[in-house]
Amino acid sequence: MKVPVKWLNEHVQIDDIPIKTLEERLIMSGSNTEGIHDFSQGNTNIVVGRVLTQVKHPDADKLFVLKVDLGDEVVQIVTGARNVTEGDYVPVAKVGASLAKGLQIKKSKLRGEVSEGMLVSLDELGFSRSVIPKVFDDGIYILEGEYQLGTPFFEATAIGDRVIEFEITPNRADCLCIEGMARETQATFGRPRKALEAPEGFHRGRVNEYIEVEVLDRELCPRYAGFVIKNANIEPSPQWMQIRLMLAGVRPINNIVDVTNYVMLETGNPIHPFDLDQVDEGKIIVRRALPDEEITTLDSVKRKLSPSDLVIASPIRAIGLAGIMGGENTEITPGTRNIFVEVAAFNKTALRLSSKALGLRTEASGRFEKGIDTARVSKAIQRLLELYREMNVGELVDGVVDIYPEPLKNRQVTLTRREVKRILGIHPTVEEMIPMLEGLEFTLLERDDESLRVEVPACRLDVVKEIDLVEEIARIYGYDRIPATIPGGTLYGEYSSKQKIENRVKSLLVAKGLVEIATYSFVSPASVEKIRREKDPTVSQRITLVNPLGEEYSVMRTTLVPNLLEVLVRNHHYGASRMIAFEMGNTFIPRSLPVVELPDERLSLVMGGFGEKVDFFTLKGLVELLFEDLGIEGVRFVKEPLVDTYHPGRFGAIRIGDQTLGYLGEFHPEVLENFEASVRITGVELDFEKLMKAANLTRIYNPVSRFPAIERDIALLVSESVTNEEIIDIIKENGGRNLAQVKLFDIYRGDQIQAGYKSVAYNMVFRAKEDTLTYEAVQKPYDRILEALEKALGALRR
Amino acid sequence: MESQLKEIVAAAEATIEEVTTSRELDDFRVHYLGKKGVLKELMKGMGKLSPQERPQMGKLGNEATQRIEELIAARKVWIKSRELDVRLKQEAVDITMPGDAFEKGHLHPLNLVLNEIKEIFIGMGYKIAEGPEVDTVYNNFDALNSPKDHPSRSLSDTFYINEELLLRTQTSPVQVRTMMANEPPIKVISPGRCFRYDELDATHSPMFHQIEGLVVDEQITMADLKGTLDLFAKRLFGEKTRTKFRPHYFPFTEPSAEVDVSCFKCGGEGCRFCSYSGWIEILGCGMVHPHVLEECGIDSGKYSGFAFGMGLDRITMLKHEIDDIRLFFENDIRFIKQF
Repeated sequence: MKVPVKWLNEHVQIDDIPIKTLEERLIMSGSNTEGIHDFSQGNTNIVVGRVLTQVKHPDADKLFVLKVDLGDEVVQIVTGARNVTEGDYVPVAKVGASLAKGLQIKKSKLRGEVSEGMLVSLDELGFSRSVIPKVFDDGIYILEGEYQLGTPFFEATAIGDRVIEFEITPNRADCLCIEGMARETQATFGRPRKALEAPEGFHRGRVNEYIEVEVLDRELCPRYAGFVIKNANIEPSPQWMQIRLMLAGVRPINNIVDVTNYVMLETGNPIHPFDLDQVDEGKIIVRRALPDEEITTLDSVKRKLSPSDLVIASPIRAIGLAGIMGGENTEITPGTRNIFVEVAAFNKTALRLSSKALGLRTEASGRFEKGIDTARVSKAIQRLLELYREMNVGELVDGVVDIYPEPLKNRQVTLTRREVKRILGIHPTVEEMIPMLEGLEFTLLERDDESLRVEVPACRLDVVKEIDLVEEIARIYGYDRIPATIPGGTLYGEYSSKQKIENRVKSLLVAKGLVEIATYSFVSPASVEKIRREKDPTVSQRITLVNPLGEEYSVMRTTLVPNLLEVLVRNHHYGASRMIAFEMGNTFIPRSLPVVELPDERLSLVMGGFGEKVDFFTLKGLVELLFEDLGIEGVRFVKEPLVDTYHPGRFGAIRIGDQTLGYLGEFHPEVLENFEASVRITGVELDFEKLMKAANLTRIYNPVSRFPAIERDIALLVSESVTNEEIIDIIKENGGRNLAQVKLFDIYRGDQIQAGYKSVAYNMVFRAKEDTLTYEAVQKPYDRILEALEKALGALRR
Repeated sequence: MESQLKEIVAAAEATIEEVTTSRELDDFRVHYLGKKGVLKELMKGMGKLSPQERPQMGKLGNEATQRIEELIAARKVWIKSRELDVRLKQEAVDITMPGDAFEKGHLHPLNLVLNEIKEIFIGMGYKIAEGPEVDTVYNNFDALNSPKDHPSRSLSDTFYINEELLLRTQTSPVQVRTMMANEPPIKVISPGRCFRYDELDATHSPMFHQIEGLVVDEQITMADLKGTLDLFAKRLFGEKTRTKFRPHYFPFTEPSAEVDVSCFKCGGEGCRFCSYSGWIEILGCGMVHPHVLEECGIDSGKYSGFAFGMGLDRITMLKHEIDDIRLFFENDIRFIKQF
């Protein structure tokens, strides 16, 4: 909402308040701004001049040479403008001037003729093309009336009037007009405003002789009013009005239309004029559209309507879309003689749906959608009549049509001091609160020491309950005057045990050099095939968005693997040589398809990496460390069931008992190809919910043996098919109670070893809790181990 | 013989200074005191002496041995210290050579800042409430007093799964869930992912992160809201940070406010970060609307509360001078490693 300050000043006197203060205090009372526009800033050294003579440039067809009187001097200016004639008052940018659009004016020669300045267009002053009147679209701005020559342009005209642009919140449609902002200003500064006159009612006079109105749907149109102008003279509106409209962001068109826009900006009520001679039979019917009825609107678009749209119609056809846009068939044209000016109120919800269904939003529909009370119609009518009369636009037919079956009853609301204190923590007296509310034009009905009752002004559709008045007190009292305290109570803060485990795992991974990534919760449907999991229902059954931003963001992820691969591959392409990343995030598992209830959101952890010393065993080591840190024991890596995402020879399902916690493996070459990876990548996917359930963070002290340990190594020749796990299991089974630790420390394949065999070496630590072991004491288990290995695995001691 | 003995001692005394290494010292010892050393060799001649002379000579011999041993012992200390000096010199390294590389991991910058914010509120007595990313239209809109025909509910603003389920557009549904499941007093923050129908560009992302806070108890006032957020801003942005509460509108709070903090880059003087205004808007907040309390089964006549919400992505961008929100989701290691 753009408010020219001088316009506001006509409604409430504020011209002695510095504009910054005005803006600042209005922001703090609830009218936020988007800034102050001032066309005099950035346009310097522009004065009013008068064209004395205009002759064609001797050497250029398209140029004119002008003598321009600037008061204290007459300068020669060469111009290409075609819309100036001798005698015109024009803005002149003198030599040395600079313009908003970046022009610097210098003395110059154009085709041999000296030019000392420039005539200026509205565009060059910085006006948007959408508000410049058509006549000045391509030419110089020509001033209306007479001016002292040489006067600074921005002093001579209202174009230099500063404009505050307010950002009005959706609940405050009442502020979308000068009157509304005047009311806010009145309350904020405690200065009484001059309200526009609002007659109780209108007499019908002779208007019936020209127009008959029938409202068939009173719910959608609670009030419909209007009057008639006969023998109108359609011409430009006065320049002061045009300037105000431009400053407020509206393009001037002609006197009839400009006044409707001007009054809309002042009162907030949209207004529409019809060419009365095109209203068949002089009768207007406000009704719902017929099925498949059509209308061509002012923007020359033919639109098909439905009964949910409200139309203004003549007995034979629709002539306007109520509250949205007029019909082309009744448009005001230069030849229009007789006019019906409509001021009405329409149901906001119906109008919004209609405007949305038609895909047509206008200034008028936007205002009606936000909610406009029916009372202000009277003000708008009164103001229109005043301005039309003043501007002498034609013959105003005596009387007003006003179909207003149920005049608005204002609400009454009570406010107590107790509630103000309870919500705001401040204790103003009733005495102090009354002027705050009266400034906002609430009418005091009753009061006592602890409470007051007011009538809510018609325009304040947002004030319904006591809390709404509390808010009014808060903003007029001033948020900055409310003290700052800290709530008491005995609540303590902490992470939940689940959050603690998450934090612990992340800290561990970061300490081990992993990088955390964050990727979208929605993914491309192709991601399942890309990781070869079509046959895995827990991955392939996914939730699809109704309105995704695009195919690639259209399904909710059931696994974090595709995103991880994308990130890793992207980084590899960017030149990273080594990287291990992890993401902890939700997966979305539907409980049924199609979805009828909230999905199971399962926290998942993926890790993956590539580069030097990043392989299956790197990731396996990480998983083992993670499990150790979480106190999870009995974890096994098994080859079955194979998951197609992974390299079949470099894969392990991570299991405890018969429960699968996740998968570990190098990604399958086809998967890597699907992601255009040119490097091997190994990854882990873990069901974090299961991990958390298995976690045991209790730590009980286990006495450290003070007795020395005995270490024995064993080197074996075994078939390639024998796994490390098989050997370790046998060692553990036969090692006796003193075997404290067993570890693979060497593998050898080569010349001395026959093909299909490998040499493996294990280190075993024996330690007793209660005494010093002797070499002889460990010989027995050692022999037992050897024998068992030989028997079970055909292992030979080397 | 006696004079020969004296000569040997004198020779030892004279040459000990020439001994500079442990090995030379060993040679020295062997030469004088070894089994075939000069002293032993000389003393072998004792047999030729008369019995009267022998004890005298024996004594002198012992004294000479003792003297030479003393020389050796003293020299040994000297050599040890000298050899240490030499070793230390030899072992000197070029300390300007690079240190070994220790690989450090990195949390995502959003989570770093989130952790900081969580710690601040935990310190103020808050717990961390979490809720699903997919939630109901009821929890996300209806229960929060959002008008049925509000544009934010449209398909062009919100991602839907069906008519009843959506991707939450804010973390406020977690507040609804918290209020429905718990009796006051309530004191939580709820961080999480949110989704809005925004094309991805430098300042918009269809997925972003919010942190909301909710306090409901008897006698919770707007003054408490001001004090809480002022303290929070000081903890997050520095002790000198000031806050400004501007009236605003949100459907689920009344009165509502937007909160500006004094620019933490320029301290409020005005710079490019604050668009030369000295203030940066970071928060929306207000007193929980009675309709919302009632909808969640809380007696709005007995209890009151405040709520606030902020964008984690925006705060992280401000704090670390990140100018493009897409960086958060591209996950370029060169970006993440900077935090």
